[in-house]
Amino acid sequence: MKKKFIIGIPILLIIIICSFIFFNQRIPENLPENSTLIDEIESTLDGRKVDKILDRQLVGERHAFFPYIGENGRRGISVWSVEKGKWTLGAVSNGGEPALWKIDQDNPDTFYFVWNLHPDDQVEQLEIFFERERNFNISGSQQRYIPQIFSKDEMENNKDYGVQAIPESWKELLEQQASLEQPQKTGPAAMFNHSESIQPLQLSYVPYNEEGEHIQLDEKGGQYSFYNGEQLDMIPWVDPSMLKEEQLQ
Amino acid sequence: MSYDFEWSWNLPEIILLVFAYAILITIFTITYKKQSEKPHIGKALLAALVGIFSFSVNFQFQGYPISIAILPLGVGILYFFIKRRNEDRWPLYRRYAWMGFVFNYVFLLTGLLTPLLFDLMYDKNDPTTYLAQTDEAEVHLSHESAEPQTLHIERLEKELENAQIEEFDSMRWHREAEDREEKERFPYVLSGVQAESGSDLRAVTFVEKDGKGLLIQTEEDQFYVRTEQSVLEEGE
Repeated sequence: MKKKFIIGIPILLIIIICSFIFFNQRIPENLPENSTLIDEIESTLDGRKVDKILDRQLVGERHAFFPYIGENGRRGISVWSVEKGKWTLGAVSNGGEPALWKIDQDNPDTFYFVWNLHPDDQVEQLEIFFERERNFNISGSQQRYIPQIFSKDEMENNKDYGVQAIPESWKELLEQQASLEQPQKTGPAAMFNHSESIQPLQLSYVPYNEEGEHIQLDEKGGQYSFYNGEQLDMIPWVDPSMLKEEQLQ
Repeated sequence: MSYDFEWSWNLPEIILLVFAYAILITIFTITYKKQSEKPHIGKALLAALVGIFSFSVNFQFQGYPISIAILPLGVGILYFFIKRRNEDRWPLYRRYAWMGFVFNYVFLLTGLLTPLLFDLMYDKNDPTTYLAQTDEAEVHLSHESAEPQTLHIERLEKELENAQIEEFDSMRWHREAEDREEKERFPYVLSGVQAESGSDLRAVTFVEKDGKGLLIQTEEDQFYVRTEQSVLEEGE
């Protein structure tokens, strides 16, 4: 009797642990109902209302993008992820300006642009710029030149909202930059290396209308945002005439 | 695209670590066999493991972490527990406790040898060390001022064989670009290039506008290499 008890306990424990892991890894069959989405988003908005969920888009297996219309027709973005077997609100931006959604911060393969613009702004196309400053550095006989990075991605704004993976070449640039920035060797040697002369990579966006003229958005909505585990970085607007002058002439 | 986990293989480090463990196992086995009155082998092993525990000073030696053991804390702990309980047992375990402490110096030695072995196996000052595997190499546009291009892998491999490191003036390049005499000297970046296997080295390589220059940024240095022919398809 005692022996059975002793063998039984570990087996029971293993079963409990396994089912717990299984339960946590489980992906719910359906995305949440729109009413649930609205309730949860509203609970983060400090009394602001959500009018309507515009679309329901699954991103990978465990993440989803729900653009919405808020009070007075303002646009907003919400991103969700499966946490402990449940769809959980990850971040809200009450204002639909383009943002960079980093599902896994260390893996650029999981970086997406998300946006939800007001139709009155009549944006036909979005250009996203990816920049790093040029720099140089001389220490003793050691010369170092850091080339400028200035890359562009174009997105057609057919539905006024969208989610789109960042270009492969940007993933490559981000990964390479990170591999040099985080030397595994720590200590004094790492403190005095070149990385201080490498500027961070920056994003900016320019909206264009039907005539191909660049515009500034009027209906940007609020600046209000809420974060609960997902990283949603706002992409700043930039005057393209400044960009052209500086980098393209 | 799948997420590939960066597994770093520092071959010299692994070789020396295997070597160190071989020494440790040999010392332990010989000591155990020679002993006339033996403790249980598991207990002897445990005593040696606890003996490794020490107060030590850590620092960097040519980029590798090194620690010098100073106070044999593990030996002290074992002494305290074994001698307290049974005065006669301590002499049986003493040698294993101290053996554990001495093992710290075996690791110190292999730690000091790692950079030396590394330099014997790989040449950190040779640009081709960083561009050893180019089968999957591609070129990406990193500056909008240039036209998209494709990489000529065969030409890249051929040119790397007799590539020459050239001096450059980083300040002049920077000024030329800022003064708009030139938009960007290096508007392309290479991807899919691996350093020699087992070296655990990495680099970011930019390609010059004419396709005849490579700027190789490593963790410690930067190399500028000029080639005879362009490594880009549309070059000559």
